[in-house]
Amino acid sequence: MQPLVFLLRRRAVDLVAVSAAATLRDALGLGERLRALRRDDGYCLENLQEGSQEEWLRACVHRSSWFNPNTHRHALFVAAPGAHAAARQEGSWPEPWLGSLLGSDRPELAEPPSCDHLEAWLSLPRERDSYSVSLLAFDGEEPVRTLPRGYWPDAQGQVLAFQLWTLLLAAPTADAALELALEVSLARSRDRGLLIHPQRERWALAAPVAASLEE
Amino acid sequence: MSRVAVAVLQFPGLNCETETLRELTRAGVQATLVRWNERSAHLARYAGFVIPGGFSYQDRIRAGAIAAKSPLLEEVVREVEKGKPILGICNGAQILVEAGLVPGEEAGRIDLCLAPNKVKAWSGYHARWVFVKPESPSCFFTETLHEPFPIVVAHGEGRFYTEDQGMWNSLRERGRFVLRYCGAQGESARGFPENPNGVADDVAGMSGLDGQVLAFMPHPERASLLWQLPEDLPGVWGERRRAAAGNKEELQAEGPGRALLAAFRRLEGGGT
Repeated sequence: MQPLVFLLRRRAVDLVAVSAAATLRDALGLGERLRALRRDDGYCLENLQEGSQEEWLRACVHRSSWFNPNTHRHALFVAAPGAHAAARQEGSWPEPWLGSLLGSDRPELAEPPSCDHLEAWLSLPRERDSYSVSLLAFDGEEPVRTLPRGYWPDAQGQVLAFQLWTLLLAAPTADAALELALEVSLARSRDRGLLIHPQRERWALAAPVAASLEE
Repeated sequence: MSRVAVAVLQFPGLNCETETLRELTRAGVQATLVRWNERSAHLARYAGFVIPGGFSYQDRIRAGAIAAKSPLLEEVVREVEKGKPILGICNGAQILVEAGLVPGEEAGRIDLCLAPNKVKAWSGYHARWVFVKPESPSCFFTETLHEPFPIVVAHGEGRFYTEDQGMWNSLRERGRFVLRYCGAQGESARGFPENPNGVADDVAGMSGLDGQVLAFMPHPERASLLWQLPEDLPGVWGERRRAAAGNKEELQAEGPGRALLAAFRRLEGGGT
């Protein structure tokens, strides 16, 4: 069965992202170059042995402890294989990663204005001279784990839990935006980097850096 | 009372500042609370610093990550780099690691993390009495400690960890692991629960810079008085506690955590 990606977004204001954005702007000198910061949670399922895609959608939404309809919105996508290997540093991150949408409680995703599923999920504000950089962060010691029991009868599979940080940055080029994003995201010193701790987390670029054009 | 002035730094979300202040005072130090939003230019007047435990900034992003980037800490770092001692307790230890003061191999560089607890029997936050033993006199706070002693841990992310095994070995060889979890008689810890979080080499406290920095996961302020100890503790401290049971005066005697806090008194005469 094809890999799946279950994405979650908080319904309420994400105070972690708000605090992170304030720290990046004020303490790390990013200022107004940081136009927006998003944090989503996600689970990438691979090597699934049992069940149809519809059954997995029901399992993720109704049986897992990942999703609470009171606090989160969700979407389940088909994904390209290879993310687990990449997380184990045994290959590169699949591109494109997200495939077709299997289900979501966000109706606008059913007919997205963009054919890029990640871009549609993120729904960032469109601003001139800005680029979005999406970084996946996952556990550095044991990124891929056996799927916990109870989600689906007799199901076997593995899961990669991650956080998806997306920075909308004012920058002259996509390369400059990527360089800036990595500079402020990877916590390498007291005055450099915040979001991802390289001593305990690994990271990957979720998608190529994308220009965010003003409509 | 010593004339040594020590600042207890408070960031929003820390929750042990009152008892840390009280036990420092009991240890004979002039302790003052300094809040994160105070004008911080007066830190030069203090001879040393303590960052107490709690959940600074609600542990947003990671424990200690935001406090480590604060303007107050920037000024504290300048003072500590002059040689002034600083003790980080629990979340305070996490802040010191996130600020690159521990191990402090290169100015400000973050070489370590305090990773989530990782033991077979348990996951997440864990609180219990444990024993630690001083391993190296190379740290200001442990210079005068020799015997194993009981103390409280209460954390979910207390495992000193680095991806760089070479650096870890180097830190061990240079005596940076100044306090280690152990058994009641000082014997090596035999896994959980003696080592409560799965940390390699049973590290409970690690020193930084030139030994004036200590990141310590257990809480000395919760073991500063004899009555704070449980009666069923094994070892010498347990015997003392049981012997004092019912005697209010004896229960007010010094507990095993006091010595770490009283270390600041050694600055008298040489401090600010």
